[in-house]
Amino acid sequence: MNCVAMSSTARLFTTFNDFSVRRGFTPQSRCLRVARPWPRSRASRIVCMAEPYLITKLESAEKTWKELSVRLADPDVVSNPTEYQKLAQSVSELDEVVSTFRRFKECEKQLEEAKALSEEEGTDVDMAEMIASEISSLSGQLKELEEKLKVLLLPSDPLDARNIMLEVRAGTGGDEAGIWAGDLVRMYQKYSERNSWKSTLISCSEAEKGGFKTCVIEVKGKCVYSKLKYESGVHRVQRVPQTETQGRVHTSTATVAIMPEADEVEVEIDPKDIELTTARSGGAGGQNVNKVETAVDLFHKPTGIRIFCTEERTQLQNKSRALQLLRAKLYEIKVREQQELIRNQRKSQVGTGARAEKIRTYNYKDNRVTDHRLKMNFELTSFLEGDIENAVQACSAIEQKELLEELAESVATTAG
Amino acid sequence: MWKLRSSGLSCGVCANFQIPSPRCFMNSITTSSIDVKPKVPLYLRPPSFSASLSELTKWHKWAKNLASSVGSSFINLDNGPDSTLLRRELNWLLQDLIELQHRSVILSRLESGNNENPDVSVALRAPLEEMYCVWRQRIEKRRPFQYVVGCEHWRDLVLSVQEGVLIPRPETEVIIDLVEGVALNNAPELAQGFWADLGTGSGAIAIATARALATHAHGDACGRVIATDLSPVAVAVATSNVQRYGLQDVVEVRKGSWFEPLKDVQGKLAGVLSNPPYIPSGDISGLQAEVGQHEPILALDGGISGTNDLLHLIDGVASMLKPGGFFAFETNGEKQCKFLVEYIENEKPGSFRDMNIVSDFAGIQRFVMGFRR
Repeated sequence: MNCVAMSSTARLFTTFNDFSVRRGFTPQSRCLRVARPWPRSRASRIVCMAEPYLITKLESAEKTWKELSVRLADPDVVSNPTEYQKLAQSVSELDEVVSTFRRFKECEKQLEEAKALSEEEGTDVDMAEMIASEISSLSGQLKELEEKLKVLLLPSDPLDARNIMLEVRAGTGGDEAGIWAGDLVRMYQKYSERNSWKSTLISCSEAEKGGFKTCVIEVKGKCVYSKLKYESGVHRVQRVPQTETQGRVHTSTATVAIMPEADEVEVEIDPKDIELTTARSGGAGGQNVNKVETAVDLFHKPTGIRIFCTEERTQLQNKSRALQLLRAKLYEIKVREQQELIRNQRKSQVGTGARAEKIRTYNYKDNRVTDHRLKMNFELTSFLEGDIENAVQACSAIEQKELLEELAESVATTAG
Repeated sequence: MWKLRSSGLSCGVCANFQIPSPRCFMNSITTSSIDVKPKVPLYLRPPSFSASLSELTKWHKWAKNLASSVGSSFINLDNGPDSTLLRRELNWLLQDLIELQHRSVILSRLESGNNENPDVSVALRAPLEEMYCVWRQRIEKRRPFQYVVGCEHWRDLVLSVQEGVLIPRPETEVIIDLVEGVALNNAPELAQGFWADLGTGSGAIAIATARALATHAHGDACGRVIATDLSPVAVAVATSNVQRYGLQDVVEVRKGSWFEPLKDVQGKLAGVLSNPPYIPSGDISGLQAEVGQHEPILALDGGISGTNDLLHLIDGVASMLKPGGFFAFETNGEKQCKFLVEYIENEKPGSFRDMNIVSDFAGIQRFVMGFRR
């Protein structure tokens, strides 16, 4: 997916948000001409679609869509493949909004006509019944379309399409934490397989008794960030460790960090800020040694971030991987700061902010995973086999609900 | 021919893997290079073999255990690799063995221990029996990993290597950074000249230099590289690598000793590069087995102090370079670097300018470089 196009869509939506609110009724909002008022009792949770603010947004989207479609046919644009692709991307992202809005307007029109009919004098009982049921079904459809439009108008996270670097770090619990970190890495590798994503090991430092002290994998594919972004945080496990001789249950933790990949333009790294060394344990090095030690140790002085890249087959390639990972880490810091701000404003449950937040507890005895944000339980065995889709979707649904509520509040305050 | 442990494998397959003695090449100096047929690296062989996923998993498990059983025993013995490095080699062996399309799925299956679809057929570039053989050779005979897979990844290249050719070292990757960052940066016109890579081995330095020259020539007439080596195996292997990178019009491989094959370009060279043998003869028996018992001694032994060839190069390079020409040589470390610089200052005063010692990424002084006045 073209990230540039994604951000242009985000910009389009920002424009809608910035759109000045038109007070009063516009001649174009037909539903306001209808004598029946919208039921106010639902207003506390659902935003009235008739609000001019939102209709204006939708009409603006339709206008933009028309303009962009015209430009797509322009021979100058057709001859420029990058320009064409960007435009085509923007158009296709608006397609659904526009077609749903058109269906909504059509449905509105039909509902009006049905209501007008029902007010006519001299209709027989059967006809009146038919019209009443028509009104009821159209109202239902209108409501559904209204919901759909609200969701479509939610700003999308421009990072959703990105590939990521996924880092798992053993937390408290000694050797057992290292083994647990390894279990989590495996879980994410299996989830990646299920989604036909490609997961590549970038860097790892193995723990003595198994598993990892830290492990970084790159996950590449369609909309990776949008699904894995809810995994950031502390994952706690309660089980009898392999190393335990007396059958006691221990609690240990591992921290997961999800870092969207950043390109060189987004994060600039000054060569003076980094120190690059390799660990050749051979002493004399050079011709004296033949060991596959292409590992590169990258130290970023301003932030103190240290990256150890071991998995590529040449030093040069490990160096580029290390820089790629450094960029992702620096970008994640930037993004996290922004998200913390939003999260605090929104009081979000599933914000991708706090690193130290305990998000899940995995209890082996009860074969249960508890997600503390969702306050939901899942079956442990299948969860660890990569079957985490339900949890991911639940987080996504909550985030969407929060965004909708925020939208409702913002409209209510502007209207009020 | 070494004995196979009983595992019911056919011996015929392993007959191909008799390890030649490195010393035998000392006697074949006069053999012409046409007699040497370069071997095809594993990753380039067609995936015309197969095994079921369960058979592959079984082999992988066995190989991993064998690697883990080594622990630190090689380190204690001769500063060889430990189990972590051997397991990494195993991962790379798998990468080369499994054909590209299904590689990431199979690799993640092996890592995750997923037992589904055990009968799925996996396309391989070599028969699985061969993999039992070669991994045993790796662990029991300490045959270098790079000879096992027939290639070495170096900078942004993949070079074919085999017994008789020195395996390019990561330290040497820096020489190309010196060519680009020092030579071509300060004297861009050098990008159009003739460069020499002496003792080219697999052709690593020559090929990477040719690519650097092409980048820096910016479409103007690009320079050329002459790669020389005494060993017929090296000449054959370097030639095949040059061809694989499509550089036969830019890189010429000549057989001969140091400057002898370069009489026609004497005084005209824009640059002279070399990673000559620099290990003191007495140190060779103490080296890790992969190096001392398998790589060509010809490429390692630099005489009593290890500096015989380096001094020979220093003695000749001034007359080979044109004025303003660049040289860079790799050495055994700080002692040799300082020794060479002192030698140049005393014996070749006024011949060179802007001489420098450059360290490798492990912080060891590794390279001596300079410009001809």
